[in-house]
Amino acid sequence: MRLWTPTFSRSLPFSFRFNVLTLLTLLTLLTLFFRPATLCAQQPASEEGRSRFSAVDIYVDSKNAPLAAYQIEFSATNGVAKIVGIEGGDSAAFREPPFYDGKAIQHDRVIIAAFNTASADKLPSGKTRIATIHLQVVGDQPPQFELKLQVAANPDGNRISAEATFEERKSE
Amino acid sequence: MNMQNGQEQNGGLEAPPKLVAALKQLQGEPVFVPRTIDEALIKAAHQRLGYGEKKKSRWSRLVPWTVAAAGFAAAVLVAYPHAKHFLGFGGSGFERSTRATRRGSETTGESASPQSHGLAYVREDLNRDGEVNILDAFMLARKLQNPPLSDPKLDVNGDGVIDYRDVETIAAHAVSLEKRGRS
Repeated sequence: MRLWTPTFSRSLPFSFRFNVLTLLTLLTLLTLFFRPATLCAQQPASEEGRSRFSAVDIYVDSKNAPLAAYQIEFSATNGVAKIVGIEGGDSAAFREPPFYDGKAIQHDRVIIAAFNTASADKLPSGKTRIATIHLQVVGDQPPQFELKLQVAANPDGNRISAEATFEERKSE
Repeated sequence: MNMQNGQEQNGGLEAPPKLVAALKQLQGEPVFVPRTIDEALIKAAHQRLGYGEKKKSRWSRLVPWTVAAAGFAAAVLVAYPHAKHFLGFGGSGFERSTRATRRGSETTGESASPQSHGLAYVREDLNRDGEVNILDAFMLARKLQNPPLSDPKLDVNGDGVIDYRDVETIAAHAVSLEKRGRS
């Protein structure tokens, strides 16, 4: 009678090896087969029950100077919020969604940036909502955010002094 | 004496004399065993005792396992792109291209003007302020409003044309989360 030993030797019966290989092949196929379902799957009920969606408006106050370009780094700092979408702002000059790295989605940090080459009279000045960041917040803990204005510029491309702020929308 | 011994030997056998005589005659003839039988016996013994498979390296037995495991890992990577970080891989095509561009600029020695104190700048840093940000994209977009542009340095993506795609390339670099240091 043959005894099975856990080594890669001939003591592994052919049928056993065949079964393991078959199992690996089936796992591979199942992994590929269920991929779309995984991507489309809803969150687990327990997590879904504790999550909510939130929107954070991003403002830039360029004082009296027309705002032609900006770049801002936004991050959720306490690990309870994930970015799920980014949209443009109020002003016609920045109504289109800004540039951002797609890898920021489902993560907690993003750099957004936009510019407009229009003349100064068509650009916003003062406090302007330039973008809105949509988030999914998990748990009961309130999210905390951090905003850093990396650069703002006037229509000539020169840096200007400006202030960036954010405001979380009240949930309805 | 010999006869007695022979009688004693023969006396111990209880067989017909013809058979005894025939057996005695056979002992004088060599027995021929074909070489193929020897080889077959040795091969069977090796298989039984496990010597014969040494010629087939142990590694050859690992091949199907390795192939199966690699296939499974590839399937996991395809199905779960985020697993690449867990498995030690990393970087999307965009990241790689960004890094390649950065490296390329450094290796080609695209140096700045004398005012730059000899620092090398990445190709996307059009305004040579030491960082790639939206101002570089903005600068090129403004220049595109007054064509034609002939400065090859403005062809950031290297496709032979200076257009809005170069602006997008710079902007993508500016907002990339893979950047190090200032941006």
